[in-house]
Amino acid sequence: MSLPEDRDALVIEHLWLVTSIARKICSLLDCNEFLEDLKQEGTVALIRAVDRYDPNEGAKVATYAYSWVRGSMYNFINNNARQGLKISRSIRIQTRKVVFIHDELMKSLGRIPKVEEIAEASSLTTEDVETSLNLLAMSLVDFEEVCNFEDVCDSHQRVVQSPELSRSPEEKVLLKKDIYEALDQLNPDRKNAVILRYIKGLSNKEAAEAMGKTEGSLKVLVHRGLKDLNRILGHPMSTTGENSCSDSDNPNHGGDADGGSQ
Amino acid sequence: MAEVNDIEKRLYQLMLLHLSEAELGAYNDNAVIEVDRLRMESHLDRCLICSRKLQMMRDVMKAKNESAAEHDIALAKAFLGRRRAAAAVVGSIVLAFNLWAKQKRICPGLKTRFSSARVEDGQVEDGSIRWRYVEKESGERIIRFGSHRMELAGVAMIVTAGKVTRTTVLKSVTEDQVGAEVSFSAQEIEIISAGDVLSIDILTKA
Repeated sequence: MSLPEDRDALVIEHLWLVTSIARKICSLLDCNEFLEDLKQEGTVALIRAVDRYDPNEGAKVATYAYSWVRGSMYNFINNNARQGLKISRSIRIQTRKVVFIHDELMKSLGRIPKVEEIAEASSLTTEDVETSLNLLAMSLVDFEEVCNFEDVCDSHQRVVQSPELSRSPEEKVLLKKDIYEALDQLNPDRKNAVILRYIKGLSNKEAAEAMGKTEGSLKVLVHRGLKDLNRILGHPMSTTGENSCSDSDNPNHGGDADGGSQ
Repeated sequence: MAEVNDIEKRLYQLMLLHLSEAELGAYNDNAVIEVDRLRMESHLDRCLICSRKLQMMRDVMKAKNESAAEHDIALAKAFLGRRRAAAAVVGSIVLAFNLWAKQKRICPGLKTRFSSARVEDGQVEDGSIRWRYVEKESGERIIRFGSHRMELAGVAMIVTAGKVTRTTVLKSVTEDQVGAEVSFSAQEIEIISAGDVLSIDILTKA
């Protein structure tokens, strides 16, 4: 698909995306008077996105163009703050607080935090939290912006950046790439065990059931898988060696070296 | 065990990483590898922010069967028409300019014994795009472009003189004119060979 006429047809076919995003933004910011301006910006962005779209990369046109269109409207909003289209500084500070509190709750609760829980922990109303969440959902206040926003949320409390927020996009990609490549080098059972426990987040019991193994065998697999990962990612192995059964919590049920089935 | 704890920490951090728009899009299209899908689902089970982002994306995508309004289609066609007109014109600018520069021996690095001003004008055949080359007595070289063809707004050009290059973009200077200017300083002229002819090329449309 490289003929100009094909690409023009794709643009016309995906105009719904521009209208849909523009309407969402107008609804969030209560700025219907800017709907046509946003659609104009979004249309130009859609044309640029379709210009650069490569079907061989696997993404659908709408998915690929989504960021372009939304981003162009985001830029329009920022460039027209003085014309009454504005996300105030106080809202941005509030959003930063919501993100920080949310991330802390996410870590401590191990499940999705509720809006009420975020509101209580951050001393905001649920309406304020919802406002911030909606702005984040449409990336009208960006994570990167929130990370770089140097402000004190309360007069007596400095909001500390959480490590997850402070990673650059490049660092995030590298972290993922390193671990995935290392996982691919593990034997299948150890790889599955580590993935179920740490990537899917199952408990030992749940992971063992999923693999059809005992909990003890599962723990052995996980332990050895982690040691393998450690070695592959560049940390030195312990002196006990890879196939040692000297760990005290290392039941040997016979069968394969990594423990038997249930 | 410290090494294992370190790996556990890294895996945990991986699960906590917020999902980018591109990742959410790929996940929504079911276009991710298995381990990545598991990671994203695990994260979405814990993260209200990313869940809301995904839901927002899905809400937007629900409109895909809606037909665009007539005036939206007309607007898009107008933009596309302008682009097509611009694409046809840009190729002719490069050819005309580079031929002109060769014929006129526009060599910014060429220094006469007695420095003097020089002005050379050029244009495409139909006169719709014009340019002026100026050699100042101070040694500075300036190239200015101008056109009434507003569809050229946003066209980025790269101007080359030997080892020195400049990038410029045609911008609206008045309601009915686009223009651009590049200059080479007297210091830069020193590193341009006397025989290097000025040339331009068009970058992708800005």
